[in-house]
Amino acid sequence: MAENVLRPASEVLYRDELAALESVDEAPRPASWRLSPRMVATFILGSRGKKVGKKDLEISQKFFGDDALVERSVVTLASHRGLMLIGDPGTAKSMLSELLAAAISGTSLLTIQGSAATTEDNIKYSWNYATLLAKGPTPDALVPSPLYTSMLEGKLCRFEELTRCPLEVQDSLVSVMSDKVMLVPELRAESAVVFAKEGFNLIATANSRDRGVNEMSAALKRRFNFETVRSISDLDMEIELVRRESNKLLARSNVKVDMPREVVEILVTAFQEMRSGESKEGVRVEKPSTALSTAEAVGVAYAAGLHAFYYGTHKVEPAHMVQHLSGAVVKDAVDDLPRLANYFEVVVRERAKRHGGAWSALHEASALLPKAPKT
Amino acid sequence: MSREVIVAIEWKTPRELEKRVDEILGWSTGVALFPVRHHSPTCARQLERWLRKTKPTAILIEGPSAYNDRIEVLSDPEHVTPFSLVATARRDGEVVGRAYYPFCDYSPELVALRVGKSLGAELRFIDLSFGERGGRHEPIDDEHANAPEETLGSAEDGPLARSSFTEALIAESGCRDFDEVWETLFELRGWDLSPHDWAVKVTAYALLSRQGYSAKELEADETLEREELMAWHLTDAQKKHAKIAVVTGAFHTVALRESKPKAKSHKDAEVFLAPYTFPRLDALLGYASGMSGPEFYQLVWDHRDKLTPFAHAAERTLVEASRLARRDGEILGTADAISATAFATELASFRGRPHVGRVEVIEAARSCFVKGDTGLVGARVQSALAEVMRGTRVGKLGPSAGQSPLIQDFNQRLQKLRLPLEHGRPQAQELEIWKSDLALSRSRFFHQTNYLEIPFAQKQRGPDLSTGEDLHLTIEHWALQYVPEVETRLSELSHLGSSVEDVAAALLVKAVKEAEGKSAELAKSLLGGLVMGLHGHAERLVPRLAASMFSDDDPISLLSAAQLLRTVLKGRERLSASMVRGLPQLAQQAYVQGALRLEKLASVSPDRIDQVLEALSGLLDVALTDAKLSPSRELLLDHAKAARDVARAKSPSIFGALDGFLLQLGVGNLEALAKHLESLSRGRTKHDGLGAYLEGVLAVSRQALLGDSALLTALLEHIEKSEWDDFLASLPSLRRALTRLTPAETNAVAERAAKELGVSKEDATAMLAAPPEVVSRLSTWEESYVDAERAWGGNP
Repeated sequence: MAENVLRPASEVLYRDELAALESVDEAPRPASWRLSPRMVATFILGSRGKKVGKKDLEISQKFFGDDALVERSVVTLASHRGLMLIGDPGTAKSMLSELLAAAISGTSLLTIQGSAATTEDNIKYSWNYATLLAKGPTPDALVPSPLYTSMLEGKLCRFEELTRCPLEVQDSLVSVMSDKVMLVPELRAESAVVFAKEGFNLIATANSRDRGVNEMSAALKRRFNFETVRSISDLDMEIELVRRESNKLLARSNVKVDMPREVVEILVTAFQEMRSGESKEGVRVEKPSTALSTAEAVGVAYAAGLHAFYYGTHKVEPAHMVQHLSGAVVKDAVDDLPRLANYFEVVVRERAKRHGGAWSALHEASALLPKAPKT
Repeated sequence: MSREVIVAIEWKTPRELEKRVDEILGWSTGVALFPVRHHSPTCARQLERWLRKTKPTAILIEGPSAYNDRIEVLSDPEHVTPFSLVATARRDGEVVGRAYYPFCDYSPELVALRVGKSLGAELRFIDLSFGERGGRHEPIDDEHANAPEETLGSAEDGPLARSSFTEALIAESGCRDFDEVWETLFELRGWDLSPHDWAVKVTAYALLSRQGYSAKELEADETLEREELMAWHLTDAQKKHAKIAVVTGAFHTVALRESKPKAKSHKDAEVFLAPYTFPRLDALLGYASGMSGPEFYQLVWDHRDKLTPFAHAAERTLVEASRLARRDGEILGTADAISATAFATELASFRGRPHVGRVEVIEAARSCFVKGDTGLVGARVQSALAEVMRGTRVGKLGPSAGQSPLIQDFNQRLQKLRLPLEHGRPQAQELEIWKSDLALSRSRFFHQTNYLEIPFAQKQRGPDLSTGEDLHLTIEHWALQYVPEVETRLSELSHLGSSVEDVAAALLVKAVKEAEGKSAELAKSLLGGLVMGLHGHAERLVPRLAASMFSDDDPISLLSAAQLLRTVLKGRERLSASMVRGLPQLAQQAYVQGALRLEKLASVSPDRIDQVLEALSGLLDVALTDAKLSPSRELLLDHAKAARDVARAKSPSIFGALDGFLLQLGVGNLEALAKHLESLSRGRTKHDGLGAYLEGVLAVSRQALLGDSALLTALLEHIEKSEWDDFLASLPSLRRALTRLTPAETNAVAERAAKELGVSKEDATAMLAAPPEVVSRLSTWEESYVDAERAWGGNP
């Protein structure tokens, strides 16, 4: 795969890290796994300062906030049950699923992107109709799905947004997950059954917040271990992450701006407080209807950085944050705008009075918030 | 703390540290120290093995030395664990704090006592008792002074868990908190070590932890004072014994040899033994994950001679949790339990832990049993797991424990109050509580027993000071009966205190905590406290109640609190309420806060309408008759008017009540009320709305229908004009409304109505002379109506 793509796959992006880990990995591996379970966790959680391999490479931390969740996920994938990652949008479920697949199977591309239009064909297999007409139902004419390929090769299959698929379509997974077998009745006896090779498993992701999402049947749920991915609750960790990721994005856009820590700190503090519905001082604030994930905080910081670069002084100020904050907080609900205004009123104003500094600047910039429409 | 040192404890102890630790332990000398942590099964097992091997002639144990004269009692084989020593601290005779020293089978201290007894060793507790300690556990400020708080006796975990070394260790080990660090390093990895290696590890850890504390800090939390006494006991025991084992928390072990011996007297120390339960132990241990798991560790302990006790406990726990969750409606089968057990084992070995721990069991249940977002659908699994980990064990004391102090106190109180103790038929007691001090003391005692649900005294009739009913009566009538259940109940309560009064106070404080922010319930507790004669505790409720009034959003709760406080003030002298300062201000504040929230009244749910009407008539009464307590007229009018505007569209009865309320305060007139009635009779809810409105009006202002009333005229007009079916439909609610009148008033209204309708009194009665079949039909209908209404009111 070419590397000058907008977003390379994890196994390409972290090729060196994976190779380094593989070179030192002496622990036993489950069948078809590229790395041992503990190395998979190290790949995702980082080597914590330790240098690995001939090139003395430090493994970067890629998933933050819940190490135990990563450990449990790896243990689940080594078992006979699938892994279901569930949580609010923007909590890095898909990223985690991609990293797991890259580390365990060496590819994160065996992926089904679920939607309301997903059919059983998309999940299992379909046909090349020209060949089908010419040769009849033969293995040549069969177009395998990512799931089919994963079973054949003993790899991890990723199923994004599983609950967006209609219930009956989801259920085509039940027998695959329990018997590890896919039947292709159109083919002749010897090719009519695909047995999953050891190492096959499924990582699914699902949103727990969106409306219009389908439930899952109890039969399918039974085949998964569920892990709930939450927003990061550690303030410092989230600040660092938002700073790092937004700087990375800005660098990629060739934008050189100064992103002061205290500006990121007020952004992340505001996100955490609105998410939890309570300020540090114990004042109750109304939760907006959106998830306010770390990814969204990165989005706001990135947008503020672009704004400061193209229209400002090349230094990100609280005012830049305010301008983009409303876009992140107010998604579709009319009620969210008053909630944001209320946050500024009861929390920001007080803090500006007491602490001054960036909070004062933030409070002064509150005039930039859009006004709520009169109802 | 450097990484090397941490690694050193973890893997191979560097020589220097080991030498120092060996000096501390002194196992080759006549005084051998063994470090423990409370409720640690691994520690208990290692200690058991070590004691049986070394056979000391004296064992000194960290525990309240005030109990030493009865220490033999603790190892009575007839006791069933868990049980607890309870130490109380008093200030001016009142209990201000209470500490528990719970024992279960795997408590190292109990193991030491039991093994020591079988070895025939001298046993001795060597710590200060909670009540003897000077500073920290006495009330620090008023905020904390309100409660005999529960405290875990001698919490070494405190300094260990808080130390900077532990923080570094948590970060380094990949564990999430102290509990996980402890479990991983010492419970799981310690299980297969020799007692010596285990003791070295724990002592090294405690030594490094203790370095992070200054002498000042240790003095402030009384650590040093306690260690001085421990050292004194050690020196004292050495006079008689040549082979002594000292079993203390690891944090003390490392300092014991250097402490200055200093004897202490047992002033005011009060320690007694009481049965305990696993759920209480679980709550007391306060683990970060919220699940300490006494039953889980009990399972480990019970299987300590098997090869894999932890795996066994994990399996049992997960199978049982899946069973409980299934009972509660989760779809979980045996396959899930199997897969969770395997998951827990895999997770533990993934993390390099030699056994499955508590943490892995919890995580396995979450991953394998919860099918969805743990925050949304995990509650049933979580509570099932917590129940299984916690267990339901209830301790029981054998005969050697004697009567519990609470039972003794109960009997002493009976004697002091000259009351009968023999079992038998109920005896009547008549108490002239206003005249005789003895009667008042008895009444307070009876109220205390009632509050504690001790089935001893039952009140038959008399003035009820807590509701303000029958205050004109002067004698309280009680029936007393001493039944076996009295002692059972007293035993159940015995861990809460050593006297009936203390236990009543403890439960009162608990009730108050649970009622945080609910003014009416707090006021009820305050009143309960006064009736029981617990004036000191009642007084401490005043600031709490004042604070809760600002956060209480419920006007009904505020107004009923005000009403209750007014009752207290009325019977002030009888309740000795003048001993409690600030009550009148409190009552006034409650009325003001209630009045400020009148607008909220209209939005209460329909089943609380009766409470609204009662609250409003109470508020009106105080406004008209008690200028001292009443909020200002302007405030009342402003908020009542605003509330009426809200209620107009929402609730006819509250609308009516507020109309009546304002009418009584001289705002508006009967013509306006008549108009409201008329518009309601045409509105959407005409059948019920009319009666509901009228009921609201009459609930606060019965006069509205008396005399030359425009309201009555409007009512009669509606009756005359409405269709027969409509009239019948609105009849039930109208009748209900009119029951608010007294019989005399009903009569007057009826006469007035007859006059307006142009029928004479004779005609009216003549109209009743209907044929018998009509009468019978009507009365059948009335019966069914009354039944229906009762059912509607929830009293079938």
